[in-house]
Amino acid sequence: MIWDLFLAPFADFGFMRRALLGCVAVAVGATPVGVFLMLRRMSLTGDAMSHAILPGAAIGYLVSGLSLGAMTLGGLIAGMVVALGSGFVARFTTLREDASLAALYLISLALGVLIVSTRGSNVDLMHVLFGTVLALDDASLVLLCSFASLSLLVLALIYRPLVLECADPQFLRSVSKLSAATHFTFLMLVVMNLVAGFHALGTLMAVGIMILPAAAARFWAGGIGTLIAAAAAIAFLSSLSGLLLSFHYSLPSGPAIILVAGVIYTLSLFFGPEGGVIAQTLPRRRFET
Amino acid sequence: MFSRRSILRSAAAVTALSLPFSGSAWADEPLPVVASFSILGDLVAQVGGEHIALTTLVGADGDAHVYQPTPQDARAVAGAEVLFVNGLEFEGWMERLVESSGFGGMQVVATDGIEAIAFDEHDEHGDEHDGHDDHDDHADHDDHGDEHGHGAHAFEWAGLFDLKAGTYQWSFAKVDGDYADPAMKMVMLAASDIEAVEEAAEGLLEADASDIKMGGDTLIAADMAYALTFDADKDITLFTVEITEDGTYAFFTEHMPFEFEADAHFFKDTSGADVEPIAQEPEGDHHAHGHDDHDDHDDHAEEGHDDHHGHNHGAFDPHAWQSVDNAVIYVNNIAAALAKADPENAAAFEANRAAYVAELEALEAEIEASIGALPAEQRTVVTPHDAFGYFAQSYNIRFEAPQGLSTESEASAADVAKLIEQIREEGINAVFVESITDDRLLKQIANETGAVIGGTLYSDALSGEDGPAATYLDMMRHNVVTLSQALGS
Repeated sequence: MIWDLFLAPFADFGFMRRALLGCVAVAVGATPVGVFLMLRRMSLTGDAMSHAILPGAAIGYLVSGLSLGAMTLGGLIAGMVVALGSGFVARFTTLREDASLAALYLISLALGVLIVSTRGSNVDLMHVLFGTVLALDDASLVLLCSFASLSLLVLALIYRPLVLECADPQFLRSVSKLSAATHFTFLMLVVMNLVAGFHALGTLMAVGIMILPAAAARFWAGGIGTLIAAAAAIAFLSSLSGLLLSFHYSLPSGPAIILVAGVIYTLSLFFGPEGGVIAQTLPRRRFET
Repeated sequence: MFSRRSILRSAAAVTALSLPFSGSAWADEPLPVVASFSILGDLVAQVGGEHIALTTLVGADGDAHVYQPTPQDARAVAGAEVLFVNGLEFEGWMERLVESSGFGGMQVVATDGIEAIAFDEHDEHGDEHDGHDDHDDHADHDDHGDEHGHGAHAFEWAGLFDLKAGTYQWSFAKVDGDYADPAMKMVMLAASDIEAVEEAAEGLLEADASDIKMGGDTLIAADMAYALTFDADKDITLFTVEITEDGTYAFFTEHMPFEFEADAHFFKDTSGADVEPIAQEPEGDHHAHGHDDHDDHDDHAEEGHDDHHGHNHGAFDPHAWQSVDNAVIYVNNIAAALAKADPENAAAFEANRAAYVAELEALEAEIEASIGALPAEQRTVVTPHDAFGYFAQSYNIRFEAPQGLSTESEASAADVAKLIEQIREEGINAVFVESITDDRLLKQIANETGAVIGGTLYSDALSGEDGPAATYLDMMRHNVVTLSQALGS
């Protein structure tokens, strides 16, 4: 029973094991970044970035076909241009970062759609842009795992200034010149993880596995360390359940994974001990005794 | 791969666009013609040579199934003297384009005279897999035996049709792998109503004398009974019905014609449109005969075949060019049409046709030699787009559509698992990708099952000039080489 439901799909089919490994890589790499995005009140930045990446990947596809390298590079370049551009505008002009980011990603998106349309091919590009976790080949898996490792490494390097920037950006800026560097490095990480996620889940789903587990984890943990651990665990659980649902109930795998994360988020919203709806409405004292 | 022809062709296409759209070509001007898609375009160019100005609507690597015509297309069609289409409901968008463009020339169906393969066992693109399960329900057909003896008539069914002069097609298809009966008698009489000739028909049917007709034969209205014999080797046997004068005709059949319907209506005109009787005996629709399980049939009378979702395919597999024998028919049809539209150059068209048919025959021999060299047990492959029915039939290769995988939506893990199991169970040797579909998933599946990834097969469109399938001949050669490389290893 347990074998059939939970283990047989992975034992019998290599593509399920690959899918799971891909999801674990994305979970490990992207969720810590998602946690920091949330703490810095930049959750929507992730969404904007995913739109900025889409045209880059599309151009990569149009230039050299269905090539992992070209699409990754295209996505990275487009994402970085938008991230750096908006950061630059925010730091050196009066426009704030949210507005400049919105402006740049919209320009990038429009440019991408324009290029795709004028190419006029009958090949359905959306097909290509919605990666599927079921079709991860060796190269994609290597890419996902290296991006995740690199992301964790870089995050460890900028961990202290990043936490400081979350807590008190003004303070960091006043005592250190690392503030801008930290900010840009962090944006790179966002872009990198979104590009990796887009190979596994498709451009639009990638941002889901970054943000939803972080938001759900917020209701279970207080400290940043535990928050990251909880988010990664939730992402892993969502990936596993989503894949199994996709296997047993014939659901598309990407949306299934994100929806499981959504269900966990909704449950956390109500039952989470850290500021969940029920915890908030109950008298404080009962928790303290 | 810049052949002399392809340069001519592109030059011709440019000329077609710049022609004034007067509709009448000067004698020394090339004849403006339009072909619906790249493969047909190549065949037309081979026959027409420098005497035509060809515009191809759906170009290289384009998917003609889901094509959206552009205003330029409408202009090209409006200015054309001859419009070549594949037919068999391949170009679902063409009818509207012809109407809206005000095309006044000659429309030529290139598949005219081809023995079309009915979509029966294999459903379309693997989109519609519920279809497969339905087949079990067809078991009802076995019960037909008890119906056969009813009534005192020598015929089970009579139908009166209002027909224009011309040719029609009467088809008998296998249902569940067998014809409902191996043969049957039929009488065809010019008549104003069924009653008037009922007795005469009965006499003819009961008489021992009858003219034996095999698949492909022509039937005319005559005072005789035809003994129609169905080709057990084919899934469908077709008879041509020749009508010489407009009028009403009564058909008397020994068995219900509906029992021989797999997916398509039994009586069609040359454009593939269903022809329905204006009166029939027994009266009422044929759903009373246990055919309710054929869900397709419900829409036949009103709508044609729109119920085949996905890609506007009709009852027949339209990818007829995948057999070289059929390509010869295409070329003959094209040459005949061009000669009719431009009699002055008829000799040139005929010379081109003969030369090209010789090339096609050489190709056919080549294909048979290289496929014949393949081991008999290694002839099953999977392709994502079910376009190789004719190829399969002509050259004895089994093509399986991937079970459950749709090109329209994102795959689920269950679909992929189903396909992998299919490959393992059915001993499939190679998985092919196609020029117009995303192949990442298939590559992954091939990796997992140990089936060979066979490269790209071109099915519905030629590649660009520099690609491996720039012309029809190149395309067929490329496909055969690709197949034999994958299967021979």
